[in-house]
Amino acid sequence: LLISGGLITSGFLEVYFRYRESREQLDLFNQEVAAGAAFKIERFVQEIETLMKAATKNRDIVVKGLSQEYRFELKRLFLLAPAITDAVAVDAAGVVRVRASRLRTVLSKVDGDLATSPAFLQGKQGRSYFGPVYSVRGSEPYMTVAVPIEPFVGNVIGVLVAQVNLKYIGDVVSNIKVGKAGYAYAVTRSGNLIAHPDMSLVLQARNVALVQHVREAFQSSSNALHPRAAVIHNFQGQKVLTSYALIPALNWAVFVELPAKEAYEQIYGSIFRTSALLLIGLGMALLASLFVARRVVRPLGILRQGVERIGSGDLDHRLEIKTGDELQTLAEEFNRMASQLQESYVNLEQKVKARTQELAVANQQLDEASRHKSQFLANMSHELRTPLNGILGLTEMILDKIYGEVPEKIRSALEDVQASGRHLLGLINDVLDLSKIEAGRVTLSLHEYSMRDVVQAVSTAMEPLAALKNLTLKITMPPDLPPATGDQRRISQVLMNLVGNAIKFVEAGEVRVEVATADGSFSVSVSDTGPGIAPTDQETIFAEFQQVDGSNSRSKGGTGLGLAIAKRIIEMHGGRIWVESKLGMGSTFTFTLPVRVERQVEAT
Amino acid sequence: MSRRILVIEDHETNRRILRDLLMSTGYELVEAVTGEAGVALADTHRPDLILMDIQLPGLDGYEATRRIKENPALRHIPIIAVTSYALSGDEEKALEAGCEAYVSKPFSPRVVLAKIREYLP
Repeated sequence: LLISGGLITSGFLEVYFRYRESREQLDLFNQEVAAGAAFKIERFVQEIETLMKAATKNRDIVVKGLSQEYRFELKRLFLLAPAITDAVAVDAAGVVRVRASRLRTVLSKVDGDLATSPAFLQGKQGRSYFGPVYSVRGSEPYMTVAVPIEPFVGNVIGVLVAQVNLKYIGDVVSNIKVGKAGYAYAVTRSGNLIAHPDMSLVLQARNVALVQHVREAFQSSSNALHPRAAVIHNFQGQKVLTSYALIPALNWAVFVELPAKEAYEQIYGSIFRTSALLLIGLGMALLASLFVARRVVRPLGILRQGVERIGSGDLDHRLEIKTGDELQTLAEEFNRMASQLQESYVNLEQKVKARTQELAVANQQLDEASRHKSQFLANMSHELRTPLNGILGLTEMILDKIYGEVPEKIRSALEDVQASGRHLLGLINDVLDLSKIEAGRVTLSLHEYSMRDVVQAVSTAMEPLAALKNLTLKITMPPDLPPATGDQRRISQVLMNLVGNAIKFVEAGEVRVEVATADGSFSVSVSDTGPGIAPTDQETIFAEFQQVDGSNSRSKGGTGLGLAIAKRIIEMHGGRIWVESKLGMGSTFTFTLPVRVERQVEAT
Repeated sequence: MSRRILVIEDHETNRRILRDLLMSTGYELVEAVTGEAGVALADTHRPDLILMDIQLPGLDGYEATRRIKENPALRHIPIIAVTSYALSGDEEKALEAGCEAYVSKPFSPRVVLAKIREYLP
């Protein structure tokens, strides 16, 4: 676009200058024509003057004065200068001495009072006189020319006055052809037409003194800088291109006029050619710029797109630019960069792969270790449980008097053995349970169950324990609990644990179990009137081996794992467990449980 | 006429507990130490009930139960599994193998007796 703008601007300038140049050339040409005509006219008049002057240098004049014999001299003048029609020799006093005429009829003009005429007066001063142009009887233009008769310098004895027919000037002017319709004409300073191709204008003695450009032409005679050409409306109202040349000796001017239409035809023709050439140039420039665009812009586009692709991660992409210049070098640099990036990525990927493999191996080893741990715990549990079975079984049978009466002292000791054995069993079970859960090796056994049955079973199991401490176990349940899905045994385990804990820690009062349903979840809470739990302990109570008070817990026979296991089990069901308590105001453990547990929630 | 109970148990102390418990309550007792022996004794002695320990060396309790239940002549005999741990999933497997009931180890002799009495009133 910039290129086109420049071209168009320069084109317009070119056309403008071409116009100016054409105008100038045309004007110059017209001016030369005018000058040529002016020169011819001047020479014509000067020749007449010269001939007339020569005629005054006759020896007879010196000898005889202006005698009748001078007539012959005048006749000879007629021969030499065909434009002179009449000649009169006047003596210094203004008296006509010799008169000659080419025609029989003497021009009336000649008969005027010569003694006072400007022709005579100027001639008598020793200077040539060129009179105004006049026409005779509506025919041709004439002019009076007078030269002094001066046999010796400074001795003017008379004046030779001649009437000159200016038809010749008309011929000179008429023969001037400018272009097709151009023409020339001559004008005196006073505005009289001397010659014009249209003779009638001359014969009508048309005065053009008031026409603007004619006046300007004469006024400018002293000013060479004044433009000698202009576009004007001539006195016939025609728009013309005009030029002129002055004839200073006569105070005349020759005008050359070319109809503007024709002049501009030439100029416009030239401009048209120039414009055509310019248009062709412009077209070629556009083609060239398109070519340049293909050479430069297209590779740039490829470069941009390619860099974008590489930038967005397509490191296999390569820039295909074969321009052989800086663009190609640039593209090659980008390609090199891309391949280096690619290499770096490959290296990085390999490193990541290797590291991942190492991690996988480490993970496998960890899994193995975990599996070994679980296996070990399972084996240990079994191995420990078998002797415990013996201890507990035999103790129970002794106490049940299968082996006979038991003395009171022994019974009391055996009851302690039994309690210790049961505690040990609880510890073994809990450790195994938690380790299995933590290893993610526990799968919930999801089946239909009845929450009512669960609560009642737990209630039945725990009633004797509560009764032993004179506690009330109060169950609150709506009659229409919905059938549920979940791991019944695990849920029972949790509730058993919560109720067991409550009974364990309450010295007097009651333990309440309340069940409710809302939004597809059970809400089960176990409240007691026990000592309560301090806020700091509430936060850690669900962590492994945490009890409110170690010494206290030992006396109550807990393992410290029950709540941790309960929390895991509830969370595996997609539920939540928490405690609300104030020291001295009892505690409430609550867990929520979706009524329908379709999928086990993986431990985090 | 006294009922006959087959006890399949590898551990001596446990066998003694069951022996003392069951003999004192008037049952006739047949004892086997391995699974293979247990399956054989079930066929030869036709007990009224079998107490089957699950963790046995060699042929384990599940397999022994399956073999006994495969025998049409023995299929009707109720088998009570003695599993090693209540939460390990042994119970379900025992029931799948064909056991009628289970007690978990360490068992309470009282509970075992109650369970037996459900099948042999």
